[in-house]
Amino acid sequence: MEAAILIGLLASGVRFAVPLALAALGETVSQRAGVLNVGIEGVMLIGALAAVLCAVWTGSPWLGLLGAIVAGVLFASIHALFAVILKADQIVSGIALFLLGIGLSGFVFRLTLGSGGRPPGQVPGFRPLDLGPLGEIPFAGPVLFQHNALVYLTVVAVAAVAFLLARTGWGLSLRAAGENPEAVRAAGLDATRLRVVAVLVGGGFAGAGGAFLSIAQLNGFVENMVAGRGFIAIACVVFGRWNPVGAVLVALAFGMTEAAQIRLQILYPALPHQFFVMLPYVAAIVALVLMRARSGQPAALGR
Amino acid sequence: MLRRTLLLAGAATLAAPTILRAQTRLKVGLVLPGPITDGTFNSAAHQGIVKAQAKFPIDVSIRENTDFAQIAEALLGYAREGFDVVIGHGFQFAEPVTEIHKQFPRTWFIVNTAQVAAAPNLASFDNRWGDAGYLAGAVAATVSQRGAVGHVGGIPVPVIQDYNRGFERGAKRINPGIRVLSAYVGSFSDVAKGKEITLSLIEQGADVVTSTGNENVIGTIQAARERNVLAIGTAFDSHAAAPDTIVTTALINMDVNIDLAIGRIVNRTIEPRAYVLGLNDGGIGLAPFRNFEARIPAERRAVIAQLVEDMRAGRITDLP
Repeated sequence: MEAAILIGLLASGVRFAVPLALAALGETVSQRAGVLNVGIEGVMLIGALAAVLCAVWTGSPWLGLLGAIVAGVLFASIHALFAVILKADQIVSGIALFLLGIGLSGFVFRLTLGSGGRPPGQVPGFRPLDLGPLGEIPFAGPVLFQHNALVYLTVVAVAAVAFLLARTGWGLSLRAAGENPEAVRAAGLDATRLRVVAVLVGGGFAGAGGAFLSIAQLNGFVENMVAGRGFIAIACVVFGRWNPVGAVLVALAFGMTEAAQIRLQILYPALPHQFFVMLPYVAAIVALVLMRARSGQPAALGR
Repeated sequence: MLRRTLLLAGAATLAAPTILRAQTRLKVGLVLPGPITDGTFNSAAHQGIVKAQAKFPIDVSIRENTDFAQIAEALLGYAREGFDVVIGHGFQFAEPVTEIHKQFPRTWFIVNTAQVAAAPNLASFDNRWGDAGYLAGAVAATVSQRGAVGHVGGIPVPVIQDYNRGFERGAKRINPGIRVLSAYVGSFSDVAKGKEITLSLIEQGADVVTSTGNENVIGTIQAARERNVLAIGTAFDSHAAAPDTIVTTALINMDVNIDLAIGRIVNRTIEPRAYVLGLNDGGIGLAPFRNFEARIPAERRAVIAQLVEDMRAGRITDLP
């Protein structure tokens, strides 16, 4: 029984972590290029809705995922236009993106699937993969090898982003755009274009994170279903010190704390539940305090 | 004789429009904490106002997604514009309404799903959520085979805590040895977390689950269906969402409250008091078993039917 609970906890932690990890990966790319996007919560909502719509219309969760990524890129292009090309304040533009995302996703949902106040119906979603013998390994099987395809794609994406940022010329230029855009321009590169691309990549990842919520973890869209994960993803980037692997590890830690707190609530009914709901956030603040001296913030972030 | 009848009829047709005009249309403002598409709490208010619109001469304005911080401003907005009725849907409206109702004596303020009242123009309508939870718990214990049932609440507001207490007592009435688990999401809209919490209840042995709140309820139903355990719906008759998962629904007819409130205002029979609607007023109820009719032995169903009768007659002493 105890082992079953632990297995459930770790598997649940992974499911909690994936949408955070995807959004945090994208935000890492964006911030390394010097653009803060505080509106990824809104981008995730747009992605979650687009995933459901495309999955319902085409019958394929893969096209749902593609739709979410495309919608995320398009929606983030608003931020690229205002915050990068027109040089508006990044925070203000990000907040506008967040509010627009809440409103627009709810509005389009009502125009399409949600009219008439019906609860969301069945949506074609990602099913857990059958990895044969891997899934039957005691303990590790259910924790690591009984997830849906998006979980494994996330692992691939972490490696890809880490490699692109750290080991390629494009990654070097992108990071330079976040540290010193003037130097990038002096070297004959287009810092604005680098930043625009970074914001769009961030949007695509946030859209995919939204898709995980709406067509992998659940099957359906409800208004405001991202429920603050976009902001927690930004915190993951900071705690992960702007390193893609770091951000994803923090997302994983956060997911595990979340999975642990819901189980502790059930085991200790006598304690007020707010104490447990608060735990992941307390962990985040403690981490922030411990990390404060070792910042890796891009020098030109927000400028 | 014939002429006189015609004359009377003519007089009647002439008089009719005057009467209609004299009976002015009421302007009703409804303030909701969430979207009308949530399928539970806010949809219920919407359904209630749509029903009332069909019956009474009212013009309705609805304001959705009202955060706690916007409540006072939303209520004041309607009151200043001269609305005849302002309805706040949720217990969180009780305090702001208490502060402002005296400034607008020509407006009736109604708080739905709370218990608050003040002369001359503040009344509230609430349902006996604890009784609904009691019925849900009794049914859950009846169909549970592993001897454990669970409740997932959105946020522990008073009505949800009442439901939770009722659920535990109802379950223990049927099976005193049953384990009753419960946990809260900490959010009404976080469907994913609602689902994960339900999965953890199932891992810990629960084979019948129920859920209260808004959209988070959808997560519980999905988790139950995925893991092949049973669920008891709450508030709305949600049978159609998962006909082989949802045994029945503990109905909490919040739409009846709004319909009733407007009816009483139109008829001028409303008083500044807290109306609490139970089984006998149609405020709560138990939906039919439908697909589960044949799966639950007749004598068990009879126990539930008897419980409903006892509740109606006021013979149950441990209701929350």
